[in-house]
Amino acid sequence: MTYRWILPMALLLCVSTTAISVNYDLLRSQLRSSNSACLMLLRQLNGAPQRCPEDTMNFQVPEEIEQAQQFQKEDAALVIYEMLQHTLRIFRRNFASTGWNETIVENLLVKVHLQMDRLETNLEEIMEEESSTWGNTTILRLKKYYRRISQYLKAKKYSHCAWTVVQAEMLRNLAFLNALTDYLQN
Amino acid sequence: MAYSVSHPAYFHNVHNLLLRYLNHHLDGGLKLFTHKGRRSQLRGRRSGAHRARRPPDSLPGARAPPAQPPRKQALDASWFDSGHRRPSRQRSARRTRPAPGGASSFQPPSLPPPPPPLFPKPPGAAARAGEGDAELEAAPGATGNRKGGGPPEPRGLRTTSWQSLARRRGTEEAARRRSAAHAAGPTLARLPLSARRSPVAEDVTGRASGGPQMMLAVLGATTLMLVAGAPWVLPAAAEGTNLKSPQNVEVYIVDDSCILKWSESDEFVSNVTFSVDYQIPEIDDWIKLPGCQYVTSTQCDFSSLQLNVYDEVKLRVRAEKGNDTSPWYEVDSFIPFQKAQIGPPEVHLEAEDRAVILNISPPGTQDSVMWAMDSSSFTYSLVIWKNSSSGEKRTETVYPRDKIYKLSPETTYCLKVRARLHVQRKVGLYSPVSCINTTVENKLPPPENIQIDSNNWNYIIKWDYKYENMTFQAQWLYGYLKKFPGKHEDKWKQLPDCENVKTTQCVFPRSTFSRGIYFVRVQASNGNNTSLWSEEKRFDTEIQTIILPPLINLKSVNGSLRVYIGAPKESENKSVDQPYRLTYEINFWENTSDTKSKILQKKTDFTFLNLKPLTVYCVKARALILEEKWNKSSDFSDTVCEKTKPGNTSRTLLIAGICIALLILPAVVYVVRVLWRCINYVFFPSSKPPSAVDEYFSEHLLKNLLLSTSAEQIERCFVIENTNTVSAAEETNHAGEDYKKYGSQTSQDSGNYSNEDENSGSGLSEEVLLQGAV
Repeated sequence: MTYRWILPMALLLCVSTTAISVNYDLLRSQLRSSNSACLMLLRQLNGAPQRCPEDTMNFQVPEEIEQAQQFQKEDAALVIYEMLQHTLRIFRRNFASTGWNETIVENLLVKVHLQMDRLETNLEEIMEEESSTWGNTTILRLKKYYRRISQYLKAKKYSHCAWTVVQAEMLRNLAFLNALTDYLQN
Repeated sequence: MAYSVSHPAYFHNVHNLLLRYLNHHLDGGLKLFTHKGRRSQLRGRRSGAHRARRPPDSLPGARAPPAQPPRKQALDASWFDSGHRRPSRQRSARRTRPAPGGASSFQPPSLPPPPPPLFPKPPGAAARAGEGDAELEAAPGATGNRKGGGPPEPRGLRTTSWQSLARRRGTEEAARRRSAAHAAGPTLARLPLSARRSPVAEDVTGRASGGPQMMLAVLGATTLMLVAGAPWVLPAAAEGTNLKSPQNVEVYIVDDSCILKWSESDEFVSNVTFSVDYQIPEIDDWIKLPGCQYVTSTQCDFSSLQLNVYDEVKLRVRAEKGNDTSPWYEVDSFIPFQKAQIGPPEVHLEAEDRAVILNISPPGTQDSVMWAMDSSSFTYSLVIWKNSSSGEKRTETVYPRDKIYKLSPETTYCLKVRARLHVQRKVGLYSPVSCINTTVENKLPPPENIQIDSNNWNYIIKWDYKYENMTFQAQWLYGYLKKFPGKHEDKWKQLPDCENVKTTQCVFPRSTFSRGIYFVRVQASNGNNTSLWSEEKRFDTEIQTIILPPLINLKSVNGSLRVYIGAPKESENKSVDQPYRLTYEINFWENTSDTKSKILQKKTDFTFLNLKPLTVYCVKARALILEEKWNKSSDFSDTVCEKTKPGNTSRTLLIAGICIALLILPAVVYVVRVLWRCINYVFFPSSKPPSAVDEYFSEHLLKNLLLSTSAEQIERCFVIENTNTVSAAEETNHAGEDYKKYGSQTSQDSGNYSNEDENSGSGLSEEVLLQGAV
């Protein structure tokens, strides 16, 4: 019978889903605009040209971020928040050796903070509903990843070349972040 | 029973008891042994035909002391009279079975097959012994008859004494040993391992003469039994000698201090030390924890390990005493970061007249490993109360560097702070309570009630001030700086357009600030004195003067109405960010009635439940900013109305009805088709012959039928003889009529036509030719 699928479909429709108050579409649009501004600002950071050894550091981005694995929107929000937090923390460090325009860096931080603030208002509700243990492992991996970057910077004594490497890495991260915002959909 | 088998002193006690009994009964003239000997003698004798094979040596009774001959002889006589084994076995059965648990309970778990007798035993007896208790139990009959005189009593006594002993001891081992002691000879085959030896011992002791030798025999038997029983008893007894692993093992992690705590399993055991090992994922082996090897304390601090706090760690602990070690107690693997508890933060206070300046340091030390990546992620909540009076407590969420406002001057306030990590759902411990006195009221109060407005080109800051003729200045700060602990007093920047303004407001262009979050503060001065800074007002550049009304989307779902509040339409092209923390005031009413209910909601997606089905409800909403007495609201949106759907039951019925209808549809279609065909058949028949007819009559058959009435086939023939007649032949058609003239002939020929086709044909052609020639 060709119409057998109707009944389960109808039953599915009857199942009422819990109303999620977080307006993910709005959040997504907000994050996207800020993120693109961040990327632009990051690219503008051009310090004094300096020859640096070809130091291709592999900081080992967590796989699920790099490959933009399928995320639930709540998990995506948490991951994005975590990434923004660490980005903010890293760029607070001493970058005097680079000769970057401070205003640009400050602007970048303002944008990052803005994104975080938008997420924070939604995070409270997300944390109320969310009870996934998945998020924990990814967030732990993210912490380890950013710790590697911090330790690298510290080891290289915040030199210009080290900052250049980190700048490139952060650009990559923001690109990943952009991809992650795709999952913030109602 | 006074103590369990596992007690070490048990063995000694059993042995002593045996000796005591043996001694006791020795005085009684070795009744035991004679009795025993008699029994074995009887057993040996009762092997029937194989009686003779049993060597006199194996019969201890044979060497019974001379003191006993009369009895023995009597017994012998009786024995010979009876000539059966069974009663003796019965006797032995009676002897052994009353023991609680019976000899059967002593059966070693894996009964070895009866070993080949080391000395010639009646094979039947051996076999019988091998069968074990079943045999004993099967033994019927009364033994009393045979015994006649003396033996029953003493035997009975003896049995009772053994039985009572068994009852008193009540252990399997003791009874086993007893039965083993009893069961010399054949029944020894039941015994494990050294069982073979006991007959030998019996044999040896049997050879010796007299009671002392019997005693030695029994002693030897018991010691051998002890040795034999060791494999079974030792594990049980081992508990007494070995240590138990520690209990209540827990991991406590607060900030950077990681402690493993446990408790001793047995408090009475002294001089116990503990050792702890750990394991990390990279290394597959357990590593000894330095500083926690053979320690006497019941806790171990493993903070010094400098573990990777985001990686799993496994720990195990055990107790030691001398050379004994308990088994390892393994703690489930854990990730230190996940187990860690946030410790108390450090709070520094500075007092103003109506405010207290906070300086909170994050939990852990400066170079904390645990919170290295999270130092700026902590959110702090504070509880403050007046020390003096009832102490109404006020809870606030604060930044690491913040101010608590709305306090009274010259009052003592006490507060405590705790840190929180929202994403990890961790709540920290409260800091110790610290108190401070607010200062005397300042002459110049700070400006109050700061509000920030904006229009399309400028931002406008407005505030209130008590006194007139003051100059004001405003400063701003990057919002993100507030997240970080530490001083940022020097990071405040002047607002250029707000320096030394005389009015209680200040206007500056939008271009001053790029999109983001900032803080603004205002200070008043009148030349000589300056007031303290006002409250730090949070300033989000996304705020607009005009809040556009939201878009409402209604959906009726199953007896309830779902409301979606969407972003307002914008006239401009660029996407305007909605001011965050918008509250929506929703007016909700039934279309027919006039009573409206108002709801304030922050959510943009919610449902009105429990509505009347099939009624029209209307909704309109407006957006508000309810922030610090700043009442900004948009206009009301358009009213949207929607009818609610029927209730649950009717809805399911409806769906069921639809489904059924859809299922029936193909059937209906089929029926209709059949009907149509019927109608067609009845009212509009086709002129075609039925197909059956077609099939039956093939083409050529039909044609033959038809052709039989019409003219016969005329063959075209070419006559080779006369070249002139070629043309004539072609005109056979025309000649067909002429042919009819010769009907008689032709008819004849037609009769033969079928048979003689060629001949008639040629004949015909000849006639035609003839005709043609004529």
